Amino acid sequence: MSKQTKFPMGIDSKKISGELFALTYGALVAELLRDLENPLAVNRQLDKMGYNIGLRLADDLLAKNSQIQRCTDMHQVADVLAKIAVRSYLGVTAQVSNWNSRNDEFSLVLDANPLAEFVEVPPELAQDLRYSQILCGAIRGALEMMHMEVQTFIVQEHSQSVEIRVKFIRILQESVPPGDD
Amino acid sequence: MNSLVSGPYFPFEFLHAEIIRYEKQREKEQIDKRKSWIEQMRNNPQMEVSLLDEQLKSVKQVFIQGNAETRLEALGYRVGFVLVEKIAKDLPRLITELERMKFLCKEFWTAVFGKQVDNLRTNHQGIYVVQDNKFFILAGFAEGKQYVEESAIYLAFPCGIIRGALYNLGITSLVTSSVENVPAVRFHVHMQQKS
Repeated sequence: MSKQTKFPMGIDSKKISGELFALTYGALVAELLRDLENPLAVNRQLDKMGYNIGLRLADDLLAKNSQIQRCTDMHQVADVLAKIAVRSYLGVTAQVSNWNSRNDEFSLVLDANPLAEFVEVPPELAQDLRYSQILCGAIRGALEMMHMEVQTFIVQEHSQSVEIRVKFIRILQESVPPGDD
Repeated sequence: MNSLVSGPYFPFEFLHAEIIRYEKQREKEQIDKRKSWIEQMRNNPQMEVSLLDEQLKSVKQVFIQGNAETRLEALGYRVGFVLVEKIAKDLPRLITELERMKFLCKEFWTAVFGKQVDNLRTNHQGIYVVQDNKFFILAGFAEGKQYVEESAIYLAFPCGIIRGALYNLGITSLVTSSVENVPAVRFHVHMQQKS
């Protein structure tokens, strides 16, 4: 990719309002619904796109927030996600709750859903379509860059809030691809 | 460099890049599908040759509309159409064409693309050239002529935004872009005669 050869100096890009982002995302979802004709396939596509974004977003986050230290347990990971990542990329705050007894699964509750600000999902789609699925993909992608494999899914979402469940699976080991020796 | 993020920064560039990737992939699939369809028709002996040519024409027409640039532009049109309403709602009525173009270059451009345009020119016959010396979508590209070709598809969406915004202001137009040197972009706005 030709992008990111150098960091744009100005603060121009930050001023671009969230509205542009939300509307663009909305147009994308509508287009996907038209193309794929199946809400479940749309979820998959959104998740894939989110994953690709997450892979790159992780770099961006660490480059801009040098105070983030290496995380040693999921509580720290959850903290970084809720307090830094969500706040700086979506402009809302998030709460972490519902830890399970093994401390490897938690819910991330966004206080507002900036993606769905102007959106009303028609009732016949609400059952299957996960409008904000891209967030799940982004979290999964970003954590994979940190060598953590997680599962993410949306528990519930409205325009006022989203609850995302994050489950830790395993640490990814750095390894040479087979046959690359 | 002020590296600490002060306000939220919406990762629009990443989303935009993903949309482009999706559209490119879709276009490729469409082309493959078309090829196999033509192949099938060729191998079908009952088909009259003249009839086939006739059909090919219409099929071509259909597929042209599914071209990645066109679809990105249409997507942008939709976004621009809504966006301009939000930005212009408290403004006094814009009467002349020039006033509307000025609004586009100042308020709209600042709100959406983060800065004012650097140059606005017109021949007073319905053609405007809007120049932005550092267009935000190309700001992450290497400067110079190296990526001029690749940058084209990244401008389809913004062209649509501009066309959509103008349309909602009452101007029907055709918007194209040209790049000579990344990240400077020229948008050419051709006004269409109202019928």
